[in-house]
Amino acid sequence: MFLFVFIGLPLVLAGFMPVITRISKRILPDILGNLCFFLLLVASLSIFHLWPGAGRFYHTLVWFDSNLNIPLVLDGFSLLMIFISSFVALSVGLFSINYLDRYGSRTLFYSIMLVLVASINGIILAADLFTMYIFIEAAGISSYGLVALGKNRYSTEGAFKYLVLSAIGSSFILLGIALVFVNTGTTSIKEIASVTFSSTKLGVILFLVGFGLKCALVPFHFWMPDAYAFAPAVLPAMSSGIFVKVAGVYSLCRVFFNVFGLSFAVSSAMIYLGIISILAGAFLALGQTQLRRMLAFSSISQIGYVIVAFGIGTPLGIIGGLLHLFYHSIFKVLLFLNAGAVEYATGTDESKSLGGLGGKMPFTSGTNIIGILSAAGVPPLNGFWSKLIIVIALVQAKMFLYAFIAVFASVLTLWYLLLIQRRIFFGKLKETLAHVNEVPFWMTLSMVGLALFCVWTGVAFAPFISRWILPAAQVLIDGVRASLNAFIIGG
Amino acid sequence: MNALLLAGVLIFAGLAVFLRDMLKAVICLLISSVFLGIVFFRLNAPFAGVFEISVVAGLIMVLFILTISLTGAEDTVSEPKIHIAFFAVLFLIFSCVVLYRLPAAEKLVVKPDHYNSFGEVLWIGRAFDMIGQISVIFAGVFVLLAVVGRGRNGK
Amino acid sequence: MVNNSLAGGLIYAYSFAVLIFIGFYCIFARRNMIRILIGLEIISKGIALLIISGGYPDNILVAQALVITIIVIEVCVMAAGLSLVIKAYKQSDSIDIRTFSKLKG
Repeated sequence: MFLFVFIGLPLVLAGFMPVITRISKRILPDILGNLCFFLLLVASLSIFHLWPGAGRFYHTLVWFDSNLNIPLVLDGFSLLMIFISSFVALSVGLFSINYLDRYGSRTLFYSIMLVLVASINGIILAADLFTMYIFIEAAGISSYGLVALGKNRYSTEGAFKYLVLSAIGSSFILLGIALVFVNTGTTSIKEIASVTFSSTKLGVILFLVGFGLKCALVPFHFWMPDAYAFAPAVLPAMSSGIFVKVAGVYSLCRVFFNVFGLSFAVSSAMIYLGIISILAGAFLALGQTQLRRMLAFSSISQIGYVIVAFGIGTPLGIIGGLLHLFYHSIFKVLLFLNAGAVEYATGTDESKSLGGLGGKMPFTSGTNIIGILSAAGVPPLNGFWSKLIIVIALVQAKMFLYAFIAVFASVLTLWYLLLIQRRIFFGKLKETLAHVNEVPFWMTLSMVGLALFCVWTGVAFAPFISRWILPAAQVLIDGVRASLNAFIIGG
Repeated sequence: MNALLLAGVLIFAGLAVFLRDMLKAVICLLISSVFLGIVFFRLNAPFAGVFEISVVAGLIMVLFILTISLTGAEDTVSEPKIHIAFFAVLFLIFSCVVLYRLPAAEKLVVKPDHYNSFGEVLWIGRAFDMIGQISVIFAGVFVLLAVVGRGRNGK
Repeated sequence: MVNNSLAGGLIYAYSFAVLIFIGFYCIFARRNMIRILIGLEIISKGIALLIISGGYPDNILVAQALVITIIVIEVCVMAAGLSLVIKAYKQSDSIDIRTFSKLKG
């Protein structure tokens, strides 16, 4: 019964939210929404404390003595992603207490966020490929809603392009699942893993293209800059922080590591696409002047790092990929929330019309510096360790050119991020911006909390690796065997 | 007989792409859905057939016709002219690829279902999918409200 | 091959492939926003055909459950897409995707 709270609680609350908030439209949605996210975070931490450290648990929910069974599966990788999703949701929830003053429709926003979090937890806990697909679609539809909350015509354009490209990606994923169903007669992960596939090349390409569209690998990245540029800043934070990772990278790893087994063709394809993403994201970000658009290209580049690390397939590569996945959620959400804070205070995030905000907004610029140094991989912040492990894994696999490219792109990241930071926060204050103040309390709290977490995970990274990352890596290294050996807990 | 029905599905789907008038294109899509529903009936899948005809050829077509009437799309959008030849060439390349890759769509494992009735599959076997569908429906409803701009409160 | 292929005939595989092709062609080569959504619908039809014909005759119950769920998901995606088309028309009086290339991806 306990695992189901991750999906059931946000969903029930989202359903009751329009009814409950007839009482109070201003405070109650905030309290209920953030309380729910906080409870999910506490639940994930308590599971972590009870965790035996290894193994894959099937948990079937029995409802009122009937035959209903809902198989939920939990292993190290799922636990890591659940923690990330709760943490990101809580940070964005706290941030939006003040941020939504500009957008109105507070109830609707919290309802959409709750459905998004419930669907993301559903993707993580699903034991069946088709269930994973349904929750990917539900989370996708919620993020179209978040984009559509924007006010100008550019956000509608971005929303439509996002919808069409994301739906194409879902069709590819569904095509792959349909082919697997035709081949084996079932969609349950455990049963598919026990069939050895010899002729799955068509299915593999379909899954790669589909998940690539979901996680914005080059050449499938076209929706990301347009969708993020004019949407309210909470959308890029939620989408790039958790949705792209779960619906793209997590599902990709589940399918290719635990169901099919990593073959040489898939591994090479992931490495090539990842390297192209790293370079293309870094170069395309160089010429951008709008903060959110540049951060979108930077996300494309960082997700490239993660895919390359998973594609290498060695244990060190998997550890590096998981670590970068985790840390990227933290610092990228921090950077997008900074962009949201700048937009809240000044009305725009176009760097050509901004300048010299550092004195007026000390918390924002301070946390922005920490975020940028993490993203670029400067020691002792968290980005440094994850990129270092990825580069070492590349060198260990004798791919010296790719290791050089990874380091080079890291330098480029530092360059373009510092450039835009200098333009926005330092320099002379323009006269039109003289009235700007620091952003309100909850937004500052959320940003400072994320920055402190960046510093903490950077300085004390070893316990994180040994307690959170290693069990997750063990699941992926075990590969197909991990989905076959599972313990069953009745519920 | 099934071959004729499938040919009907394909021809009307093709017409839905190439007709200039939006309303006629949507009606062709509707007829294509009806043919597909009949194909499902003949393949021993009555529930899927009913759903296909009532939901796709009913609900989605109503949505399309609503949108067409609201946007007044008497085809003010001009389409590119090179499409017929381009389409034929792409189709030839595509069919060569498909003929090569077709063995991928065959059954490797023949494993019959162990369910007794359709209700048992839906509510007991795939119960988690029902919760997924609830999520999707909630998401759709809230997105519609967000786009329409109705829930503007709490300023 | 006859016992192992889709519903006892290769014709289902061919029709599914042609439907997918028509759907993708419609999405990429058409400029009307509503027609792009029609293309998405045709792709879903193709996938439904693949699942039903692949599940015949042993797994037909599970196949029907999958197809019903896919149809429900398509309804929600189409509703979201069409409402965005209406909003786009209200904001800029056109449903041509070319007028929406202000943001270069």
